[in-house]
Amino acid sequence: MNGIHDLGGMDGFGPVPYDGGTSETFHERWEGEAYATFVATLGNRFASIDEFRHSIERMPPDFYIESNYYDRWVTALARLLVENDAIDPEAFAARTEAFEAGNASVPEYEDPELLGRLAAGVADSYDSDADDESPSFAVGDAVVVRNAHPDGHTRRPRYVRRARGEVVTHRGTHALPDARAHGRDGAEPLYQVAFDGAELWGEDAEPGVSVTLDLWESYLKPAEATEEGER
Amino acid sequence: MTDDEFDPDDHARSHDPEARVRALQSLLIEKELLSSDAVDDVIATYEREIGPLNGARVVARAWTDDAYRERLLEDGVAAASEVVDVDGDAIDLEVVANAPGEHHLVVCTLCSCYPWAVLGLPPTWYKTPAYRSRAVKEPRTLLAEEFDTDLPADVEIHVHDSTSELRYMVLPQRPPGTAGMDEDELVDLVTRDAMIGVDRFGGSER
Repeated sequence: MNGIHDLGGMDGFGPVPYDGGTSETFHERWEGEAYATFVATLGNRFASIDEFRHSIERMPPDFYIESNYYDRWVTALARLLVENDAIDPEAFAARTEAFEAGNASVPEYEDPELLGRLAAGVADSYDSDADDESPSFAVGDAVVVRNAHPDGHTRRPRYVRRARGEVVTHRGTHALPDARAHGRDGAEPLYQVAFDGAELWGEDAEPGVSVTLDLWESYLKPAEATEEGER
Repeated sequence: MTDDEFDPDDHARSHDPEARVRALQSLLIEKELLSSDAVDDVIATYEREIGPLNGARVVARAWTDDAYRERLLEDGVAAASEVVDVDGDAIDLEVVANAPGEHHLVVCTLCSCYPWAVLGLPPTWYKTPAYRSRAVKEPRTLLAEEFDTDLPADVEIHVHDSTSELRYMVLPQRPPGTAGMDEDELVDLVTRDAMIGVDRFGGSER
């Protein structure tokens, strides 16, 4: 979807809040708890990593921008857990208010076996390897990113659509995020494609820059077919 | 209230994330879908075990052992696993090497993909719209203005926008004047920022 998350090439966000190189972990305990809730959501197979990313993208643009990083995670996880009937929204709303009022605490429950099972579920959720399908493109082929603007999830950022690039590597066959984010099966050959800066940014490009992305086969078409008119 | 009526975005706008995540956690724990020790373990793992020191050890080995360097560029996960604990089930890693005329920079414009198995949690700035928007369009200006990293004009920049489950780590050039240092001393020189590519060791000459 053409959401606010698709940030590549936008202007106007101001300076980067650089930390000077200091190592960071979680700033507050609740951020780590958000991470653990992510592990529980994927680990119990309520959602794939693509469904999780898409759940973040479904936030209204103004709210996405104003929320901090782990805040977005909590919003996205609540959406997935409610949609998959893992939690009751009424109980969630009531419990949130109880915590805000200082009238609740997180229950204690020990299960030393659980984390291993959750970690395995998370690894499965990230695992995109699929049975090899024969690739249509070879290393060195000139390709053009097909122009498309799907409503759902995609890993084809706006700034590469219609751009011409070159296949650098064939990465094997991998689950298509556009399908897996919506609970559908589907896998395609995946390619690392390199784009010249001038192709992406025209006369505003900086000299001596190239950008590489991993793009799935259905995102691409041969460059020859589009030389006349279609672009 | 039914599912149709509950809007998680509206709910989130009016309640702080700490209360919301504690409510989620509590409900999951009550269903035995999460446990207190799992929460503590996840937090402790990122606070104590997985961090940029892992990547630094890998880089220092590559600086001192040419055969290792070749293996690292060929198969990132396998080679990194020789030096540090890497969860190979959960990550695929490509290591890209800087050279006198080449500089690599890592970003994820769509979300926050990062080689966490070797570098730990991504820093806050890496996840901001400011970094994600500019890294692909004006990396040279971004590096100079925001990170004080001035790249010579004859150094090409290769930006890697992470769109699949494959993650990138930059292998910086070994800094000049370190010929006499052993692997442990070199580990201390490697920075997280150099492994993301916002810092660079050495100029355009070897």
